[in-house]
Amino acid sequence: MPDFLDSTSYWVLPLTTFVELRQLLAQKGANTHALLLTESGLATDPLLLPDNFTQFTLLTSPEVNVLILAKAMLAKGDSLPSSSEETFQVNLTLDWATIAEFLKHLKGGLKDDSATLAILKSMQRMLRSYTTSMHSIQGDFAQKLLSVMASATQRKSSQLDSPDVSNSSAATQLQQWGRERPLEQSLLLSQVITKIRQSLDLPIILETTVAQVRQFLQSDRLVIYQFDIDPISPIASTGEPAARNLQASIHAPTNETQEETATEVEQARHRNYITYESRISDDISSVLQFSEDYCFDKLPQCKAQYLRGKTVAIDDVAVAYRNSPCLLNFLKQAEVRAKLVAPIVAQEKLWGLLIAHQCSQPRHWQAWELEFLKHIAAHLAVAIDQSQLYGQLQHQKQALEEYVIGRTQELHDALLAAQSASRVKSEFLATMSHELRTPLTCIIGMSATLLRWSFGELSLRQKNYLNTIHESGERLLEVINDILEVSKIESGRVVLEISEFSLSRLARRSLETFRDQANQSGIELKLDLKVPLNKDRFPADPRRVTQILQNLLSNAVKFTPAGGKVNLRVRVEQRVAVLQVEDTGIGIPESQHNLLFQKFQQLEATRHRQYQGTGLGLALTKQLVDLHGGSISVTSKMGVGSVFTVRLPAQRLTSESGYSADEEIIPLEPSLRRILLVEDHEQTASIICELLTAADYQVIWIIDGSSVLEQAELLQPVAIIIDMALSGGEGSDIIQSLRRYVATAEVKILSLIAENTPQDQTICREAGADDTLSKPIVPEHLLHKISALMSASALE
Amino acid sequence: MSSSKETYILKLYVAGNTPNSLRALKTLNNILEREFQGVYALKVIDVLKNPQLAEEDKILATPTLAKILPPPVRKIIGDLSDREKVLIGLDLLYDELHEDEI
Repeated sequence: MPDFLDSTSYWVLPLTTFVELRQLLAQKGANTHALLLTESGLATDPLLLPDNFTQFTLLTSPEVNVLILAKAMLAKGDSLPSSSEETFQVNLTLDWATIAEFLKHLKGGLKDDSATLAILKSMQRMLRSYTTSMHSIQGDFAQKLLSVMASATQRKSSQLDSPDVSNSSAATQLQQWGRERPLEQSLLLSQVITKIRQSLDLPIILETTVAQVRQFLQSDRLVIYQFDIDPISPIASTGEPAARNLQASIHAPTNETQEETATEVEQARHRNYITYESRISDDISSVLQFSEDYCFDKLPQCKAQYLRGKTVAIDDVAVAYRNSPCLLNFLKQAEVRAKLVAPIVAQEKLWGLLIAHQCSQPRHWQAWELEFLKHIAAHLAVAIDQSQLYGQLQHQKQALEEYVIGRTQELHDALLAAQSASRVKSEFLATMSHELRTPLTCIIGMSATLLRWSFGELSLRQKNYLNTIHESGERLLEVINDILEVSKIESGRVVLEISEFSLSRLARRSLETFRDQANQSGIELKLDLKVPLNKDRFPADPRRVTQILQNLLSNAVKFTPAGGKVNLRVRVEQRVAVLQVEDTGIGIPESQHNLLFQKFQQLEATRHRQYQGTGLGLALTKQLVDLHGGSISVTSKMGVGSVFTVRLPAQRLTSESGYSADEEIIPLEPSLRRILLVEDHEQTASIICELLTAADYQVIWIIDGSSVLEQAELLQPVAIIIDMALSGGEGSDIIQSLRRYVATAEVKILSLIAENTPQDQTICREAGADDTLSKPIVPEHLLHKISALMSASALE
Repeated sequence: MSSSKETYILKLYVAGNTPNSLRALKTLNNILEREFQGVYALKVIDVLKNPQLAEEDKILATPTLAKILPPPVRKIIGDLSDREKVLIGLDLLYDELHEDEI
């Protein structure tokens, strides 16, 4: 006889319940992937079931596997009261191995029935593929089965409620055999485990567990006594705000001298109390929020024992606590007669106690009951562990979120501050550069005028002084322009003006600018052009590329001693122009290579004194290269020389800027910075020319006023300066005709008048001039007015 | 530091408002627009109106373009239709002249 079924553990069920059970399985078996087999599916006769079982239902599915075996109960020798209803001995198992064994057994007896054999084989396959991940579903289904069986026992107990049955009533007996079933125990356990797995909501886990365990143990009350409750923890706050305690009633032993520590005790007391409770009925008083710290604190070793996992079973407190009147008193208050205690140890701390109470009478606790409570407590400990970890995780997550939000806000504020600082800086630079440029332009313009003055002889010394003034002014202006340029690029206000140009010509021209300087310093300049004719035309911003080359060449010439060489190499690789400036100069130590392209970085204090410059040149160069999406790199050896390599990718030509320099004449875009000057007074014209060219304008000076209209149309200047006192004609007539003429109607006109009287101003305005300037020319006034007209024109 | 840019001073001598004079101005304008990236001051002189200026500079024919600055002074005679000639005259095409040296 196969011993795969425990013949001693079985259920006794009425027929109706058995049928109900089978129906439940049949329903489940109707699912798509489930297989159901009953004794009626077997053609063999007699049935080859083990242990005289006559009926069975076997369900296999990917989620749950159940086997029910049953046989009719024999009336004789059965302790159950006889009933009109037929009763069955039912064995139920969910155990994989047992079911597999049963299948094997069936197969052994079914050699001929190929159809049934096929079903059995599929069932075996299904059983093999069953995974433990389906435990929760299996648990749920088992619970359903249990509830069907439990209802049967309840029905039975109500039917059999007879007074003649003594202490062990039929109901109790039913409970007894139900309780002793390891299957039900393990099912309840698995249910608790399932709950723990499914939920992170600790209060719900504890609540349901307390209720189910109480029901299963059939105790009057089941509670969780919790230690060290954080006053603001959610578990504590779900209950009533503060712990009730019976301290007052058991206060007697408290010594008055302990008053100092009273507050501490008070605090401690409120941190230990009953947090969960399940009662058999409302007749049992509630002990929720009760605290027994006083007595408990007297027994600190008790806590330590609990921590080690000690369980306590007390059948009658009156006997056990004879010598502890305080505790006994307390238990009386709580109506506790017998109790069963299992510790809940979470994260190596005594988190609480799981306590079963019997209120009205003593109770003899069974060993398995204690074991069961211990198991449940252990599983609760896992749940608490998880919940605490989850809580910590949540807390950390929240803290992290707050930190991130805080940091984001800080960064945002910092960004705003930086932006406004940058804006202020840009505005300051713009203002400063204007304020610096105007007087400088005067210095440069006036010194240039004096140098070229056609009358009067200057002594050599005077000439040298003027030259120095002029050159210093120009150098200063360059520095200021560089600073302005850098700040403009930084603020993103620079747009490349892309056009196609001849690489070789641009390279030659850039190199040629340094010819004189190189000759003076005794440096040999060389151009190494490796640009095929068909690749000579290259789309980029020629002005910026010139700037890049000039900056690099300027440095090369500056840092190369006499007798040295500066070599400019140009080649085109695919769609990339490679510009290389090589010198035999002093070189740059490798440690300082990364400082090279940073703003305001002078490599050495000594070098600073020896060589002029703001340290902006290379930074500006890098920015210009970056604007082109290119790269700049350097290799250098101290005392040998440096090689700067710039790689510029071909830019995309925008339609309006992409004109080519063919012979064909194309209408020109009006130059923003071209000014036409109509002036027949040589000295005035010279000063204006010098000032305006020093301020970077292109000036075309026409002496004779008669052909202004045609020339203005041809030259398309942005502004025209007209002397109102031209010998050849009336200035206001010229202005009027300029205004009438479509091509020049929009041009800005500045009229020069002898004296700045309101009448003269009115005449000029009426004729159509935008502004007036009085003679003799005050350089600053001229520059301010022209600058104002230019910006007004740029805005239109 | 970028090299000090040169300021050009040019003089264009024309005789009256003739098509020839206008063409010369137009061509020069074009060249300056495209080939020239610096700063310049161009003095347009009508020799008929200011004969003394032409005399001072010893201008014998029009149109004539004179580059005063930067030195050396160069004069280009004709209607400037020979672009290359103008560029060389303006020292904008010196590179080609130096080509052999390099």
